[in-house]
Amino acid sequence: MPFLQMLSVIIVAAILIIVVREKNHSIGFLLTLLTGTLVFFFILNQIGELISVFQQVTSRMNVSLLHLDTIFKVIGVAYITEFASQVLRDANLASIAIKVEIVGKLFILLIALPIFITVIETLLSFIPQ
Amino acid sequence: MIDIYLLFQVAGIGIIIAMLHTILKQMGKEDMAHWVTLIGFIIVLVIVVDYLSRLFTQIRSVFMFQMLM
Repeated sequence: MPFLQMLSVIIVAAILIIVVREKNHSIGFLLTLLTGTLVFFFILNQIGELISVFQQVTSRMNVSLLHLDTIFKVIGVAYITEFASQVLRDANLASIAIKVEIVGKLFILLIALPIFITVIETLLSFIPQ
Repeated sequence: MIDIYLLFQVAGIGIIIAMLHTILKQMGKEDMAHWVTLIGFIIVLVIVVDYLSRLFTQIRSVFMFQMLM
């Protein structure tokens, strides 16, 4: 059961962090960062399978989900920004966390721009000239 | 699951550095203690940053970022 495995790893890591944080704050923070990346690695494996299933479904049933890859990109950007901002907030640097979130939103907007354009074009095409 | 050793390594280094720091402080070598702490911190930083870069490359491959990031 990989889930229970990961849970126990996280609990052990939490205990280690508490011990290390007493003596040395900076290394404690680096340890939290490391635990975060460890969990992220675990999630990535699962997401990889999910994405491959999605691709097979779309290709086999040729129901062309229009912008499937942009959706995945947006999810990826959201994941990373959330990860970074939570880590920064954990190191009680809330102001920088907000900046990271703003950057993330901007990049999501940048990625999703073509979809907006197609939506606007379709809307305009409905209006009779 | 191999990466758990990385976790224990970093925690071990952190604890050893703290102990060295206090020992050296008692021995009276105050500046040496600070140097040891600094070097230990840099080692841990290198380990974590390297691990983080591995994560970002994997994210890039999983989420099919090619051009933007």
